[in-house]
This record gives sequence, C-alpha cells and structure tokens, in this order.
Amino acid sequence: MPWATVLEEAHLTSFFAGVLLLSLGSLVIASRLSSGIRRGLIAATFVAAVADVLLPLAVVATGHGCTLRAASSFLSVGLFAALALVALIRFGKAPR
Amino acid sequence: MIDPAIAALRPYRSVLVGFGFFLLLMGATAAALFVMKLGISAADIEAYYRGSEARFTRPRTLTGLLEVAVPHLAAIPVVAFITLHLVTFARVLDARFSRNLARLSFAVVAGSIAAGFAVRYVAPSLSWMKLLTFVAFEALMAFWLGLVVRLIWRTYFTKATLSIDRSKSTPLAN
Repeated sequence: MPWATVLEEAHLTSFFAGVLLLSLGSLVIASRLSSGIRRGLIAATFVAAVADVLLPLAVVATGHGCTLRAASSFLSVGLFAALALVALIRFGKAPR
Repeated sequence: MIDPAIAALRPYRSVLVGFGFFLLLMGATAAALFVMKLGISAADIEAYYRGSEARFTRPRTLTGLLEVAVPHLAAIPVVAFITLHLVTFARVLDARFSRNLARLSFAVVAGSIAAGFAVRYVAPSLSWMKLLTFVAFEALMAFWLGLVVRLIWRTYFTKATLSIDRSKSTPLAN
C-alpha cells in the first residue's frame, strides 16, 4: 500500500479518535461509574486508538505486525462502542 | 485561589491529553500528506491542481476537489470549535484575543479550502495562496495545540485548594 494512502487513513483516524475520545470520554467521566472502570476504559480506548493510527504506518515500514494491526482496529472500535454504550445507558434515560 | 473553570476541567484532563495527542497526529499527518501529494513549492502545487505534461498528470476534476473539500469543511471547523471553546472556557486566553483567534482560524481554514479551487479554476498564480494558507493553518494548529497543552498543564499543576473567605459565608442552619 502506498505511503500516501496509509497517511490519509492515519489522518482520518486521528480526527475521529480525538473528537470521539473527548466527547464520549467526557460523558463517561460525568457518569457515576466507579473511578477504576472509568479510568481503565478511557486509558484502554486511548491506547487502542493510538495503536490503530500508528500500527498501519509500522506495518508499511517494516512489513510485520498485520495481526496486531487488525487486533488494534477491532479493539479500538469495540472500546469506542463501549464508551458510547456507557454514555447511552447513563444519560439515555428519559427524565422522571 | 483556584480558577473555577480549571477546577471544573480537572476530572476531564485524561481525555484532554488524548485530544491533544490526536491533534498533534492530525497536524503531523496533514503536513506529511501535503508535502507528499502537493509538494513544497508553488510550482508543485500548480502542477498538482492543473496537471503537468512533464509529470504525466491530469488536472484535478471538480469531483476530486469536492471529495477532498467536503470532509475538511466538516472536520476542521469541528476541531477549531472544540479547541477554541475549551481554551476560552478555561480562560487560557483573554476574551478579545480568543475572538480574534477564532476569526483568524476560520478565515485561514476557509482560505485554505478555497485556494485549491482557485488554483484550478481562477489562476495558476494563486498556488502561492494555497501554500501560504496551508503554512498558516499548520502554524495555527501548533498554536491551538500549545493552548491545549497549557490548559492540561494548568489542570495538573494548579494548586487544588479553594480559598474560602469565611467572613462572607453564612452559617449552615441545623
């Protein structure tokens, strides 16, 4: 895959990761989940998203790490979905 | 006394760090893509938009230009809006400077997006405008990042105690 294509992907992913982490992460922090779960969820999402952005570049540069790259992508999507789910469960209720 | 805005942002500093890091990645990948695809001189940019016989490249089509412009028209204002709101809320900058920075940021973004169309359809000499607006936009992104870092710094290292003037407080009724 050409470098320009991988960089375009990294550019797009970093935009979505930054905006989603800030918005969904803020909602998770504002929820009344236990501090450990909140911190763990946000830290894991951040690490997975960083791996999702940087691993494709590493794969193109070295030719190794395809499995890790695929795993990071699935993990990143799953963790963002978990953040969204927490936000929905905590704030999606109709006011009483 | 701790600023109430900084105190309010303190629980959110982990996501602010994440946002700052991805802002850095966005700026870095944008600069790398610009250099790789468009080049670093006005002549390179002109060749990219209007095609070049020497490089066997065709002029950019309107569809191709719109495919790049439309996502940027949504994404860049969102990032600018978030960043400027954060730093304005936390009073990292004074209000007048924030307003002027917001105006400048949106003008540079609009100029940078419009410049591609201008080079293709108005005049090749406007490739300078594309180069200058992109450099200005990268400089502004670096400045926004600096403001976010300053904000994060303040949430970590501002003293976490509130000074309360007890002479003005009313006693609680039992």
